[in-house]
Amino acid sequence: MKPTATLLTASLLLSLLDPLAAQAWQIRGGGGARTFVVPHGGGGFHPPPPHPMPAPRPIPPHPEPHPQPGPHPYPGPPPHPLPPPGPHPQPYPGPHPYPMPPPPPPPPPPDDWYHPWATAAVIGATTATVLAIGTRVNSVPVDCVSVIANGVAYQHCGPTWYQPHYVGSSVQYIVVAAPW
Amino acid sequence: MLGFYRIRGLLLGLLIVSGGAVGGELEPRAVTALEQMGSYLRGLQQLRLDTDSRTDQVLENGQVIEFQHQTHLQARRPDKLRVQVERNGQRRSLFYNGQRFTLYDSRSGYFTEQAAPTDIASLLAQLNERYGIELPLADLFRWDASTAKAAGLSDALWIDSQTLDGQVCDHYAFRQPEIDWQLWIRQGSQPLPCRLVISRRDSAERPRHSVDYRWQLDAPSVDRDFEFTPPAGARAIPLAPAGALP
Repeated sequence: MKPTATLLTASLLLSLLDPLAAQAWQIRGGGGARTFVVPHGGGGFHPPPPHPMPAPRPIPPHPEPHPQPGPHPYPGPPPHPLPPPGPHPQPYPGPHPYPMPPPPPPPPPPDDWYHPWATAAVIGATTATVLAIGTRVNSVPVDCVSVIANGVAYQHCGPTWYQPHYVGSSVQYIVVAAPW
Repeated sequence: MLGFYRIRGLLLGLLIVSGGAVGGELEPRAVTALEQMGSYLRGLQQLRLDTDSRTDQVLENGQVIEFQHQTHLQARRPDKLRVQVERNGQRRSLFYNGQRFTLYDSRSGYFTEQAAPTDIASLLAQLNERYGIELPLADLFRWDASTAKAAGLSDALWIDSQTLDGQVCDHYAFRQPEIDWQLWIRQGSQPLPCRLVISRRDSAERPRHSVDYRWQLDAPSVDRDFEFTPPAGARAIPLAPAGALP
């Protein structure tokens, strides 16, 4: 019982510290405003709209293997801006309770300078999740460790290693094999 | 014989009605204003521009949410450019010093630095073609005599004149595939955009993007404005060519 309590406390503390995981809302892919008038590419008219395809929305977003009798209707990021007071009712095995399959990331819109990635999709927001190599996400959990290995920047998150890249004007994190 | 004229009249009437519905009204004054603005912007030797913008995003439940940004654009012909987009103290930047360009994201602390062509126009082309990057605020600079057709402009109207931020500006309304947009252009010898509003027509929620422009044409830039100095802890990462990643 005692270790469980410790883990739960750690989990609550982490979710308090993690501003990303605290947001329940999710932006509909491709639903945002268009921020340019002249079609991209300048001269010729390129009809593809600013948001080429709706972001693949996993349904349910983060299916959870174990049934959840708790008050949280979504298995994804907590729906409340702040974790509710009191102990978590679910007996989670780890500090991060949401093992998730890797949902494919939304493609970056060409005008993503005004897209609030910073607070939106929190995919793979747990270090306990094992994600497939090649998975791309827009943000990594706050408790990941920034590492330089052989001159290459990584984010090391439990069993998962991410290599950050700029894709368009945004940083995306790609799951890679461990560098050592 | 009478029947022939009647039918011809009917067909002509139909043609006019459908023409009116499809073609819209392209007031020459409004179309010319865009070209003059584009030409004036392209002719500027240097500029500083600060904008406040509001951009709608649509939540999964259909609710429209507004996000605000501040954008700073600073340029000096032929080969210096800096763009910064800021929200909640987090900043995304592009620096171009004539030899290299750098993207930096203060949220992650990652930057990427790449060799660049020798002038701003080539840089914009390379960013777009090679990396799929479109710079904010760049599109109005492109407006020339061919753009109205390329963009599919179907309606262009002068609404009235208004004073915005102390400047008298002409208010125009435009319509093209997928979007309705409004532009206020400063009257007089400096036809600069005062304000821009874009509304999507291809989405039920009609999300909007609006920009208020504050121009400073006489504030000179110095070379170091265009140099990126990595903040402590910033780390270099690769820039993926467009389409290179699955």
